[in-house]
Amino acid sequence: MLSIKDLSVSFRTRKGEVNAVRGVSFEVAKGETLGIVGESGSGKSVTSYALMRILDAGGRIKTGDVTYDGIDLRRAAEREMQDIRGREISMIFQNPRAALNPIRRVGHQIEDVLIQHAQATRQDAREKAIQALEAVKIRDAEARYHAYPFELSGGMCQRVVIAIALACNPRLLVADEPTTGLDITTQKAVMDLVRDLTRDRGMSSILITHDLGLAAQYCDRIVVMNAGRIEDQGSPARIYRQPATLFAAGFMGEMNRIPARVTGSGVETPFGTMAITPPAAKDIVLCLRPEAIRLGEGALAIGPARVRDAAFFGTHCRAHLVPEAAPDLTLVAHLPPDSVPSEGTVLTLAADTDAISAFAVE
Amino acid sequence: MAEISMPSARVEKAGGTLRHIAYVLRTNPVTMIAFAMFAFFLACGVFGPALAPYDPLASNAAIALQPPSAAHWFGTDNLGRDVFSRVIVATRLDLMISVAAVALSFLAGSALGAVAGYWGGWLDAVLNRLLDTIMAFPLFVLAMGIVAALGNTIENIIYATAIINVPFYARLVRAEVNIRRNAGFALAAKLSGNSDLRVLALHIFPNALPPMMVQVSLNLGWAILNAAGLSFIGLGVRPPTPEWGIMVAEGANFIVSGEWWLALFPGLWLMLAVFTFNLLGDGLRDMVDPRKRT
Amino acid sequence: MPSARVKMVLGRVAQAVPVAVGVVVISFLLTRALPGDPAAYFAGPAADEASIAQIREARGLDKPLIQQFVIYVGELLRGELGTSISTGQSVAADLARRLPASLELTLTALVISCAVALPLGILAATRPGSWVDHLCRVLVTAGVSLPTFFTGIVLIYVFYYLLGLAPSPLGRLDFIYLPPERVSGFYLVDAAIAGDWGTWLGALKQLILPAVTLALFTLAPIARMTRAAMLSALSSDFIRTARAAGLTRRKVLYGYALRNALLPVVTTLGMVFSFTLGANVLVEKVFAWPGIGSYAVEALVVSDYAAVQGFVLAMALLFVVLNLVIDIAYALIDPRIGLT
Repeated sequence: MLSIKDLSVSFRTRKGEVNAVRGVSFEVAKGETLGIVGESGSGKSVTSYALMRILDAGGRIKTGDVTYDGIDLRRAAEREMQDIRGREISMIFQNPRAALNPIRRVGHQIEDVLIQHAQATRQDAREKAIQALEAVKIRDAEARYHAYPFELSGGMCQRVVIAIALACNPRLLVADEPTTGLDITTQKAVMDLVRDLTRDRGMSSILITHDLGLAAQYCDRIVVMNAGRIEDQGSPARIYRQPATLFAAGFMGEMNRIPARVTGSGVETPFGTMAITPPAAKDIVLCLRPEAIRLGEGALAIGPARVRDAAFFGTHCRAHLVPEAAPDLTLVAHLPPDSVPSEGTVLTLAADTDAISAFAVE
Repeated sequence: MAEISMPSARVEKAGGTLRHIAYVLRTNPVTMIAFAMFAFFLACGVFGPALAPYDPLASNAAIALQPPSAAHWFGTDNLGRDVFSRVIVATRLDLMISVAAVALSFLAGSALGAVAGYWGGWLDAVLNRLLDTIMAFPLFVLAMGIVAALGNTIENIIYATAIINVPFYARLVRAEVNIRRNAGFALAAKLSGNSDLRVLALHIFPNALPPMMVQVSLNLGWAILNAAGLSFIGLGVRPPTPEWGIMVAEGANFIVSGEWWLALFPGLWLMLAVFTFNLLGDGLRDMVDPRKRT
Repeated sequence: MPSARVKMVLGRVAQAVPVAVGVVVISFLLTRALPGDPAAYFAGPAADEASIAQIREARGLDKPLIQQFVIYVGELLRGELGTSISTGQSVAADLARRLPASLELTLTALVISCAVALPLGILAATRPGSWVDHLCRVLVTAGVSLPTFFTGIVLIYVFYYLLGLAPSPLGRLDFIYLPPERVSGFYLVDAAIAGDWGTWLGALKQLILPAVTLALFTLAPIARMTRAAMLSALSSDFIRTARAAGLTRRKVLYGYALRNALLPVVTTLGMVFSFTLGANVLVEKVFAWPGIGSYAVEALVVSDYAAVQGFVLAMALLFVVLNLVIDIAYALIDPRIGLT
């Protein structure tokens, strides 16, 4: 449904040109929920602004193709884009109260969008606006129609924002950090609402967030972005287990980095030589998830390691250990929860080959 | 317990401030021009009588109402006096009036605002009521009323201009002191045994100075306009004293018969002086708080 | 049960009362702060000992200050502002007679000012860096430096003496016309009511130059605030939401951004009025406009203190009323105000 190929966006600033997005490509299928995750400044929001062509004044799309349902969004006229925005592709933002016009009643703000896209006439706009409010599960919708944003709670404001976005039944919803500024309970309520509505209407959606847990819970596939580039994309599980880049590996969760060197005979680690297929480089880093370290024997024999600290975490025991073979490394391991080793205990650790990812040192 | 001073930190800060000033000046040529113009007016004010080619009070009916020429750059007025000399000499009087007025209102306003901002309570309430009442008058009209009540002299022009400017400083200082009253450094100074007054005068107030400098510069421009306006309608300065406002007033009578130079040059000079102080204020604002740039 | 709106309006009016009281107190102090013998000033320069003593007793100037204040307030409530030495009539009557001239001038100037400053500010905000933006910035910086009396004189020189376009700056109406029958006191309104278009045009021609002079003065702060407020509104989150929802550029600009930007502009108007009422005095002197400003200037020259103090008080109360109107207008536009 949405296809982005090799998108690059730059901004003209006082200090020169800043490339916020560099050669990003991904697709969103019909009915799919795609997550774009990354830290602040990774370019995830800019990507979505670019596809809707609502970049700030100094921004422009340098290269790339953005195709929605066969329409070239990059070359479409502004008139056409205005028709598409709100009716085909909608967007919701963070800080819901700030996203609403403070001196206009929320009901009227919904009506503006309905009338703009010819989804209602002046006569039935009010009725349809109230229906839109009911669709986002706002109780007492008829009374809330007359409310100003400052009279509503943050969660209620976000529901109104969603109501505005979905009023004209778009087919793609872009949610840019929709849970920022909301408390945990409201976050869940809002995300569940978005998920239910998009699923009921067969909509595709893009969820932009820095919260990996949120993405993993609500998205079918995710795209990991860093410094304007895509580090990896796929199902959360696949990226977690077989990350494509070092950044993606570190972003998806805690991991141990073991330095190693590629020689003629294999990969030399502080714990012995391993026979794994290394990346094409001399110095590499082996990534090992904490839960992949276990007690006893394995392909990667870490050997004896001294416990520095250990704590009970319910499903596991989280321990920091210093291996005798590499005393300048500190490993994080998730050990079985039934016994919490005391400080100074020496345990024998190992890991299996398929739990290890190897990357060239950048 | 004695105050702990950190001289090296202060010197470092001074060096950094100078570098910042130099940076702003370099990237903002307009501010540099403003500083240059300010220096020029200051020189005119200080050395005025020495720079004037003719005696500003010497009248000579024979050469009255002559247009600008090589001998008289700004022409001569209806009494044959050299307009250029009068304009230059007037700089001293106008600058003196506005500097005195602004200095007075700065001192009075800062003191009042600092006290109200630091101790709050009924002092604050009374001050606010007083300021609100002053601001309830159209300020130029209030100045007219004050001068009419106190008497038509230059000193009273200064007092009147000072009074109507007090609210700006009082409000500004009150806000700045209020913000810093509970700041870390103020509390620390109190804890090391300084009395409230010392903390206010030596610690909080110096920190509030930079935004006040911006206000002072902008106010100087406005005070000059005010003083010139008052003398334009006949208050304060009396002929034959050269002063920009009164020269424009006298020159206005001759505009309709085409002798434009009597009014135009004093007016332009006045405009330039006000413009200089406004630009200076904007430049200072950029130095002090670039976020407030409009 | 009065609605919240009515309660809020009444609340604002109530807040203005102590301010008005303060104004009256200061006015009173000004009349009593005269150096020397207040009675002598009220009696006039030609009075002799006997009439001065008479005035002193009649006006109660020998009584304690508090009592004098009460008498003063009593007089005010009766509309009694004293007698003008130069016209021999009551100051209140003089002011009432000349007020429409000042109002016509000020209102026309404000209309011209807003008509130029608002679009200029909007254009400058929507096209940052363009020539409009630079023009706006230059105008704003220069505008606050221009002495009103000087611009008036320059305009007279250019348009009357050099170009011959403007009529002689000698007041509201050239002597070949007769003033229209007084209904409102505004010549433009009264001439239109009487259908006398010749006089209407004559009055307009006399009004243009002084109104433009005054307008130039108020242009700068209004344009500056409009530009700043529009820039701020246009960069807010709710504008992004509106654009993302596909609203047209016009709707976003005027319906959403401008309405929000007008709020700080309305607040600025209060400050603008303060300067305008003061600049009015200067413009009236330059153009010999027979309003209350020139009345006060003439009174100052002949030391007619009752007239001057009456003028100051009248202007201050007018200003309090204007600020009240602005306050209420703001509270009516912004639904977030007035709920406490």
